Amino acid sequence: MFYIDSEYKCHATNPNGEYRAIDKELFNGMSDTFIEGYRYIPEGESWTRSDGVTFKGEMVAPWKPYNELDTAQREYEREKLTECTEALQVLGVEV
Amino acid sequence: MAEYLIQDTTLTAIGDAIRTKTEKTNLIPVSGMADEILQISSGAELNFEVVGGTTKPANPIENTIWVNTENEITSWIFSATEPYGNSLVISANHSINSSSTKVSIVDNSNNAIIASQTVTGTTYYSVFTDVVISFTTADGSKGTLTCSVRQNTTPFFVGTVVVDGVAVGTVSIGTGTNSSYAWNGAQTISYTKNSAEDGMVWIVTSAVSDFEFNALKKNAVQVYPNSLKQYVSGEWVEKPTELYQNGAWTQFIDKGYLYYYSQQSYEWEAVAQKCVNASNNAAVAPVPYYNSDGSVKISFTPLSGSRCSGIFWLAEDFDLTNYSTLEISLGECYKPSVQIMLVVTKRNTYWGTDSTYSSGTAYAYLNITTALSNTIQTLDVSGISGEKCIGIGFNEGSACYATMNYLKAKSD
Repeated sequence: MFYIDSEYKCHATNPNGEYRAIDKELFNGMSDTFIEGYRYIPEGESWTRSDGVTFKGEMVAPWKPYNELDTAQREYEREKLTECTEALQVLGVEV
Repeated sequence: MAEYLIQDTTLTAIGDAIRTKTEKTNLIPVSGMADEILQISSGAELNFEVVGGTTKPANPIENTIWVNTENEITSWIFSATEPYGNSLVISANHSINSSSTKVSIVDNSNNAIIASQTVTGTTYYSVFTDVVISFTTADGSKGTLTCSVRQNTTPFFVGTVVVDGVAVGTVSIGTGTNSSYAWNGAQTISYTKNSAEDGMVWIVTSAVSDFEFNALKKNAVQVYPNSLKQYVSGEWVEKPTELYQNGAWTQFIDKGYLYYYSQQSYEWEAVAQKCVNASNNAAVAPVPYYNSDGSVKISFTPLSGSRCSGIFWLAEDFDLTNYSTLEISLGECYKPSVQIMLVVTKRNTYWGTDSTYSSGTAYAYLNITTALSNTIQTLDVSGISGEKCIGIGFNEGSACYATMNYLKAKSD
């Protein structure tokens, strides 16, 4: 589950309830930063980029540079791994 | 025959003029002056020629551009952008919190914002009528956008664009219902500044061209063409073109064409490759059939009774760094249930998306459905750079197919 705004940009959360929920397992395991760098256009809908090119759904594409999203995701996964390792150590599991 | 006297100073002046034009320094006998003058070019000599016809020229000179066309070529022009045409992008962004709508107008010829105005109201559904926003385009044309924001009605933003006194288009932005609005959006209004003449050839230049030549015999005016269009019956039509250099003809094709009818600039291959979200199922290679019109029908037949996946992809990765859009021209397509997609992916064990980051391998995709048959579709790759694998992926439990006329990576 993720959310899209009126420009079809993705959001991990919906704090004010103004975004549309998309019930699709597209970003499982992804960080909020990664998700929010993507655009999702549902089937049957379209969006026009600032240069006038129109895209029809269903389309999924990064609107932020993918390399930035990839870097953020890798950092997120390192943090998750560290958290898991520490949790296991607290439980006395040797890692 | 009458004879006239001519002074030595006059002859010297003529000789000096010839030497200036020819950059020679030697003295010129009076009897040779006429020949010298005849050899002087009256203008910049071109180092190429543009030839039209349905057969190749028999005796081409270096840098001959042969346009395979049945239409007479009346003139030509080098340009990176569409000559004589222009377009504006009108965008409307509504802020619910401040009950205002920001209207912007971008001139596509230089991507400059030429007008921007925030229309502020007092309530959530503010109503505005006949707001006139004036603008001046990059080429000096004067225009207006007369617009209104409408209450409880979609499209919520409507407007009329006038350029140089001529109505060139209408704007209609905003969809949905009262309870679920998509307030924001943008729309392109294209118009012609001056008419290109019928038969005119537009030699498209680009920073990503494989070709180059000096357009002039003297002086250096290096041009980098990569495709060619001809103005036929009011529109620019892409024409198959070849360039003669170093004794050989080379297909004159935009290197952004990843597949272009029968003109193959890149190698494609059909692979039995599993899709991420069907990784437990069997992999089957799709089968490409090349039609007589140059399109390719990619058929996919899964193993009986099971969902399978496979992909038809570029044999080598393509560098998307300078491109913002993948444009695919589709012929007949048939997608019975699950998935056919134009996908930018990693060339890993699996292709596709719909999975976790660890196993997900796609950067972007566009779903291809039966309803998209015989249309031109686009995939936004502006956020993707570097060499990437591009293909048509299949993930289906029933026989299906997609027909591709062309696939082009575009930088504009």
